[in-house]
Amino acid sequence: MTFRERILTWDIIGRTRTWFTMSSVIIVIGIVAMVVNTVSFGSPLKFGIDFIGGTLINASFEKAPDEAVVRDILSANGYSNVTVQRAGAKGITMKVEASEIDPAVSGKIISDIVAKYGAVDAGTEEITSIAPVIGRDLLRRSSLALALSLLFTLLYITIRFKFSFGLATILGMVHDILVALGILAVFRVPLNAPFVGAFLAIITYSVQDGVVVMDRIREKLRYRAKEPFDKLANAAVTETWMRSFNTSFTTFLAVLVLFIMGGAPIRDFSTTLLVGIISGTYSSIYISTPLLVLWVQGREKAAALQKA
Amino acid sequence: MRSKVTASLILVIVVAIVAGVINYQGLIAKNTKLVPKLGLDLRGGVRIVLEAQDTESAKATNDAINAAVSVIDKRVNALGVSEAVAVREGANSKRIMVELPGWEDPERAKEIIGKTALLEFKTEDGKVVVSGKNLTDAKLVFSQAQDSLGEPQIAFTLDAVGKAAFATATQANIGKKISIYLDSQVLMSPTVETAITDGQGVISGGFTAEQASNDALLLKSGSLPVKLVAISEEVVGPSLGNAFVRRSALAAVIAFLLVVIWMFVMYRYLGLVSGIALIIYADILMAAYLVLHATLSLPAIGGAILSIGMAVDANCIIFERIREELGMKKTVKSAIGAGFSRAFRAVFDSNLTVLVGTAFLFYFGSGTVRGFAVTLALGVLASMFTAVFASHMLVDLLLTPGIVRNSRKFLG
Repeated sequence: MTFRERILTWDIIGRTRTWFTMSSVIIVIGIVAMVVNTVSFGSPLKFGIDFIGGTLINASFEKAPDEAVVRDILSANGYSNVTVQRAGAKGITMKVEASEIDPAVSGKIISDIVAKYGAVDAGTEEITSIAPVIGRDLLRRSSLALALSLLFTLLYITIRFKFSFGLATILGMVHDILVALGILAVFRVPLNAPFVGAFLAIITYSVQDGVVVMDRIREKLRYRAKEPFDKLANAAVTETWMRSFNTSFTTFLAVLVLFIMGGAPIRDFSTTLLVGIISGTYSSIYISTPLLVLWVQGREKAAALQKA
Repeated sequence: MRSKVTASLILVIVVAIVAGVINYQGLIAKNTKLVPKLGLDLRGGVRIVLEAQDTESAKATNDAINAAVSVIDKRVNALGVSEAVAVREGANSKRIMVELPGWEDPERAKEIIGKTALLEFKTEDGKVVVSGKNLTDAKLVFSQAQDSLGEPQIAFTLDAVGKAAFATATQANIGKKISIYLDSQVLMSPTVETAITDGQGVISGGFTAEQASNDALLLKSGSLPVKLVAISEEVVGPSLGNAFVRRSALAAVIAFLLVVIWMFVMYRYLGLVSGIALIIYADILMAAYLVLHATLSLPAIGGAILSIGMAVDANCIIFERIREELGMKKTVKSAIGAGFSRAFRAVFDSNLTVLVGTAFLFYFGSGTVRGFAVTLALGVLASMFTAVFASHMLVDLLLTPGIVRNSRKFLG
């Protein structure tokens, strides 16, 4: 029997309890991490400089400093979440994720750079605090945009499929968000502006993948004989399993290359995407479909009771 | 059948060539109308730090600085500098930092930021009768009139010169319109009913209370609500480092090769078809970015990668379907026909769901969220063309006798 043929014999829906337990454990760990974070650091997730603001250090030196070297110097002085930019011909701008910097530490940073690139140009050194780029207003507006977008996605699926299909897809997406946020909370990944993009990507990927799986169930329902719904749904997910795997694997490959080659500045961004791709594909098959089965079976049972 | 394939082939080739020419113009010939726009994270730009200073007429109060930030923010974003940022340096700081991605000339940027907010009253023939410099006071009020009760408005008072000029102008224009312009944009065009001789009036222009209050503050000082002095201006490099763009271009090539190899392993000749479709896809997508001046920043790249994944997905859905149809002992030709048409519903619905979602993100979102929505939506549309239409044509072409001898094997 080839691997493809073996997939068709899998009983995915029959193991619903296993999948739900697995996801629950991951999500509960994430929620515990958020609670612990809230108690010990004051917020469930670690918000970066773009959300909470930070400190800006500016200076010019005899020679133009290299961004990567300066990033290493900052990291050696205890600041690993930084943005380093060339400024002017020989200047460098460092955004550090801390509302205040001990003058001793900032002095050490400057002298470390001086050791490599020569003395500071007179009068160019300045240290100021900066406000968050993503203010509360922007965040509120973006959340509203997202909520409306999801509402209409649900409406679209309800029109093209059924409400229950839309609900199952959206719940699968909620699962993916919880998994992603949980992992961000466990590893205390600092969230910055690009995270907004990664977050939206996870949501989109999850919904898109879910719709493809739901399409197969919809198609099978049209030619349904007397077979029970769970058998039908199981056939649908096993038949589309290879497609789901190949799609997410190719997308995963693309992001993995970005993860390896993009380097430190975007590692958090690409990690979030990788988690989202895996979770998004997994949830369509192992969460959304079983949920739909539970819903449909519940209704069929209720209908049978009413008849009797 | 043959002629349909030929027509499709010609259409795909024409689209690919047009896109190729656009890309050549933008990326290699550096045609200024088509140069790619990169965000501050990828390209760098101009950063200006302004400091608010007290003057006799306007103190640098907290409110005034916040109003100035929102005015500058509106202004730089109105320039079409996508993802421009204006933020206050710390809650009680008197400094405002402005970042303009892709800009190279700090002088011009300063000029535009420091531009005065100009209030003008113009008659129907375009003559300016009174301007903002004759204003002595402007403040937020709420309408007392029956038909617009509670609507936020700006009440203004003119100085002696303005009062006289306004009286003359209104007297001469009874029954005609006098339009009120702010920064060259019409706020309202009321019809003059009686001559206004007391030098006072109300502007209503569908403001929110916050807007009316900001604009009033702006008008009162005749320009920005506080005097701002540029204390530093510099051209900054990309925040993700200069090497990042080059590295991510290489990453894209490697990712493409890996995807094509995997698709070939899984689907043999059909996998190669998806590889060709992916090249046309990237070609069209890049051209669309250039023509629409989409700003490419890290979140936008997230949207682009995702859409590549979805383009490949459409091919996976179709190829798996063809394989299933072949399993039902259909002929290759009918299996391919059935595969494409049956898979189409899944591809259509999943892509349209995404388009519905992105439309709302674009309409209600701002900045980053919009950038993401644009790149993703363009990607979805391009992938419908390449992964469905172009691949179908390419597969039909493969089926033409002589190209694939043993057609049973072309799926592996």
